[in-house]
Amino acid sequence: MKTLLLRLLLVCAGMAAAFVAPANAAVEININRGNVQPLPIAITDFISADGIGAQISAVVEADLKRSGLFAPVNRAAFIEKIQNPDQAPRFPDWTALKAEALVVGRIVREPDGRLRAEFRLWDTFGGQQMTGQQFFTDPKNWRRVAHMIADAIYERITGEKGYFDTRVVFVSESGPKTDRKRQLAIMDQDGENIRMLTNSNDIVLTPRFSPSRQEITYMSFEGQQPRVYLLQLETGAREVVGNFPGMTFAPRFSPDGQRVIMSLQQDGNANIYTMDLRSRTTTRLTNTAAIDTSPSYSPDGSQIVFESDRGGRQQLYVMGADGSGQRRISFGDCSYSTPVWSPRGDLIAFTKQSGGRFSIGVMKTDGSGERILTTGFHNEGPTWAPNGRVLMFFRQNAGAGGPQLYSIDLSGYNEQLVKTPSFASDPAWSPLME
Amino acid sequence: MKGSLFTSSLLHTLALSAALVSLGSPEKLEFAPMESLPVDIVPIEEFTQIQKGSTDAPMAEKSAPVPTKKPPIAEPAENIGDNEVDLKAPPTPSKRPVEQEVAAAPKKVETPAPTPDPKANEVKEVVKEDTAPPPEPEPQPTEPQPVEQAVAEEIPLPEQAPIPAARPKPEIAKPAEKKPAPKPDAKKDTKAQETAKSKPQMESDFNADEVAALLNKTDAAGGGAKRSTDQEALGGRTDTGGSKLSQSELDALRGVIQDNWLITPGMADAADVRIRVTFRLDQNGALIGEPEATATGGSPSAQQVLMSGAVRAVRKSAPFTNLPPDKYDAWSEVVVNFDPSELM
Repeated sequence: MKTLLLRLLLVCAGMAAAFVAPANAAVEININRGNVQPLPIAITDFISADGIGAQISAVVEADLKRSGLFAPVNRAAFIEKIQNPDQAPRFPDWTALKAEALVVGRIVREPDGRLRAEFRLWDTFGGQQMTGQQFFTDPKNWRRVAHMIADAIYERITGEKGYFDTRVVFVSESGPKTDRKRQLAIMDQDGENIRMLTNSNDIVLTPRFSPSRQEITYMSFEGQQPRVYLLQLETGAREVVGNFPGMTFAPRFSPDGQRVIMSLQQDGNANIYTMDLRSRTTTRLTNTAAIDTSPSYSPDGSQIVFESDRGGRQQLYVMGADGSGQRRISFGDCSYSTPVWSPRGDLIAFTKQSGGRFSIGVMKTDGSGERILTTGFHNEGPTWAPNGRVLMFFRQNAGAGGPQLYSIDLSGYNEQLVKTPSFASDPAWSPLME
Repeated sequence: MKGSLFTSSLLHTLALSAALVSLGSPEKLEFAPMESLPVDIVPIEEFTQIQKGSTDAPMAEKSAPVPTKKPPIAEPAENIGDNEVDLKAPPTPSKRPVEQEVAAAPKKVETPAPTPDPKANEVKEVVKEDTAPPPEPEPQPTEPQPVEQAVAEEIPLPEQAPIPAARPKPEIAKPAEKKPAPKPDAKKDTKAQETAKSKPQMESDFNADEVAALLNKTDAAGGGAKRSTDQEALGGRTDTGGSKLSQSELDALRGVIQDNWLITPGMADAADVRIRVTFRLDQNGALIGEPEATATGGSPSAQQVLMSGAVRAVRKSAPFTNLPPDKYDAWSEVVVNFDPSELM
């Protein structure tokens, strides 16, 4: 018995000895799991003569919090009261709160009436300034300054472009179900500053931003004939894109803003066309007896993803910008629609219908690596934030009176309702301002 | 018919009665009383880390030899010996005269060893000769020299020995019997001295066997691992003194940093980034200097963000209070490899 035990021990010892690495002075560990948790950040009220500083820092805080990647520390817990944002803070006061970053700032009204907004982002555990910037703006644009500060913080900490200084155009739906009024509307990405762009009783659908942020293309049933329109945001000027015999729908700009790609229905089937906005020439890209629609360019403009029922049900296809090399990328016993190429270029978002349920998902551009982000009674129409890590879509819950807008992180975390005064659908996220 | 019935019943009766006698109840199974085995639970890492031997040694059935035992620690001199002659107060040197009567007086002379005086003298001479090289405390444990050294050293340490001059003679004999091959380290020597001193009446303890043992210059029988004639044990070429962090301690360290490593899933170009952070710790687990981070793979912006995130994780984890202080050598420097590929 004893020898058996000893033998076992010796075997263990021998095996351990064989695997033990040569003694090393440093202990080395490997970490391949992290904490998927928002980063605790302390955002102080910006110093200002009036309440504008507190207002701006509140917007910054709301932006960062809504991104799901930051957890603002409760201000009531703050120990140090920042008096001078140009002085280094007392870091232990902030690390004690587990805040990994600290934002301080100051808002000054310049003699010429403009606002000067300065902020500093401190690494509390490292005791260093991570970034510091100042902006000048018209006082009316204070929200925008706050979004830009939030973008700078987001970018410095996450390494990705921010998306707070962006807007969303969508279809606002009001009134009873039987007599629903649909208007184009635009708002800041946080739901503020809503403005109606159209005021008619005609159905409007699928608004899309141009890369310049100054134009919108959409489809309207004005005059009982569905057509694609262009709308100048500044002037409100509208024009019809092309003059086609059939109905045109599902328009979208090319990444360079020079063309609009859309579907044109003729004789019961639909094909994809592009129209050059300057020369007004149109080019046909697909030629099938099926319905090809919802085209979306890759960010480099070299490829187009679209949906087609040529295989029996709606599936996703990819082709070259000239219509060459069409190939199917989605498969399975369900249908895929409304593909949108990510601004990063690595993913395609889509709506997937299966078993009576609608999901929003993403897949790689070759159709592999499909991931469903959310599933429900009705989810549809994903649109990418310009940094390619957040999606907005609209959802109608069973029994609800109408659809609402939601945003969700690419990781599937942090689903958030985007509050709008009325029902809303068909969101489209603006690009970043250059 | 009747006959067969009779035969049948007779045979049955016989068979049954035979069965009653021969079958009976089976003997009880004997079971020897079992003693429970005391088992020590030893963490495997301690066991493996203290194994020393040859990696290519065949596996032996035998366990390592019993290690040499330390002799029992002698009690302070004044408490030993005859209590009537308590030695707490050192006698004045003037009383030194070789009045062994003092020694003889105590009845304590239990060991009735007739001491042949001449022999004692001889021994003394030997001792004197050997005493010449006392400053060589080389680790030669096999010789009985320690005894001699003990004698030699004892003289210059009078504080412990209240009766300095007269003693030496008897002492030679005493320690010899108790310690056939003590290790020559200083501690034991002094102990030996103490025990020796404690017995003032030792002259009478002298006996021939002890002298023989003293004179025996052959190696002592193996008592320690070194002297074992057994085959080398299987083990590493060196032992690590059990100072490496155990798996659970490593896990704890990893867990702390991991918890503090806040990452953003789905970052662009981040899956191929690998971050290596090196930092040094003081005895309290606090950071010494700045953690150094290096990154490979991925895009520069992803590298920068992940590096600062990894460094923040380390800074936030400090001080590392749950590391075992006795293994400080093992964790004085820590290297952490961050691999976000599964998180992106």
